Amino acid sequence: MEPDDLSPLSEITILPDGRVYAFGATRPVLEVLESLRGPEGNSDERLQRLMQTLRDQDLTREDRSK
Amino acid sequence: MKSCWATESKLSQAREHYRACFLCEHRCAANRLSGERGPCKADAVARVYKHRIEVGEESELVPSHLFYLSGCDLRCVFCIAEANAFDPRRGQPLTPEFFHKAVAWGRSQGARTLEWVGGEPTIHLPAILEAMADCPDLPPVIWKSDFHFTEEALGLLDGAVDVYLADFKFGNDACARRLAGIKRYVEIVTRNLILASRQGDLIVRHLLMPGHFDCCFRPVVRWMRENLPTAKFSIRDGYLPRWQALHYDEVAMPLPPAVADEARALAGAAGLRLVV
Ligand code: SF4
Repeated sequence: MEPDDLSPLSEITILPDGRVYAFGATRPVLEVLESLRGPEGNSDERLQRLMQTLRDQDLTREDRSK
Repeated sequence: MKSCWATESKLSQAREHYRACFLCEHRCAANRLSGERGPCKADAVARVYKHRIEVGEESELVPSHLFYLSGCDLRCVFCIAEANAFDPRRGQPLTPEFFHKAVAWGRSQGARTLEWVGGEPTIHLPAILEAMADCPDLPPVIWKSDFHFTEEALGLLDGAVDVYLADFKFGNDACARRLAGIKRYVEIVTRNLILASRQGDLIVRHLLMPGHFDCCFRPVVRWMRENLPTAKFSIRDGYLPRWQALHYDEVAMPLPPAVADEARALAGAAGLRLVV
């Protein structure tokens, strides 16, 4: 069942000092944030940890489907 | 087939709260079936205003299928859910049929957990238990709550919930009264934290707010250190002023960046078990 979503937006707020806040973060939102912040490890610890968790789960799922 | 916790006696005890409601510590005894409304304004229909797979929760919980229910027993001026939290008429009715289809969809999208959020899910506990009772393939269930519920409500959750995700927002009653409109906050929430820790996995969250480091964050850390030193503790530093927060000077601004580092250092020094 596709969500019949009454407030379908995720919100990204960027403060003038560059801090970024994401509310209702989905995986595509995290991927956008990661790409904005660049691949050189300058995204914050929490974002990196979440992305790593999701990638580890992808690998586990691939292994199981082999 | 019904889950083993879902006995007819438990489900009917839960339904009784719609006749005389004692689900939250307002203990207003409203007959929600006959048109009476308590401070939460909820009737006997739980409504889902949004459900989807999110990854912004603690990393051990994601991806999680979040079910957002409208209506709440608190009135936090900084609520991020804004009007959805305070108007329980928003959203579509939570029926078992709707829920079972939604859970199957969430599973197909890779959700590892299912999370009830609000508003405050506890005010809709009877409808939630009914929906979960015979749901096939239910993932581990997370109860994200303000922890202003009664002991009776927590008893009904026993067995049905795997992880309690507690918002420990205030470190003293004066701030809770001013910013969330409730009394006896510390006594109620700390009682429930202890009880929930005996009933399932517990993650205690604290949202850092500007101007509430000494009055709220420090006492929360102190209480955790003295009472639940091994429980998981999650510091949330994404505060932005929402809803009516602009009318309250100290919370009318984002959190200054240095506060999060100071908070993590303090919690670490207290020996708390930090999770991200
Ligand atoms: S959940 Fe609502 S109706 Fe029930 S006791 Fe609390 S405020 Fe009253």
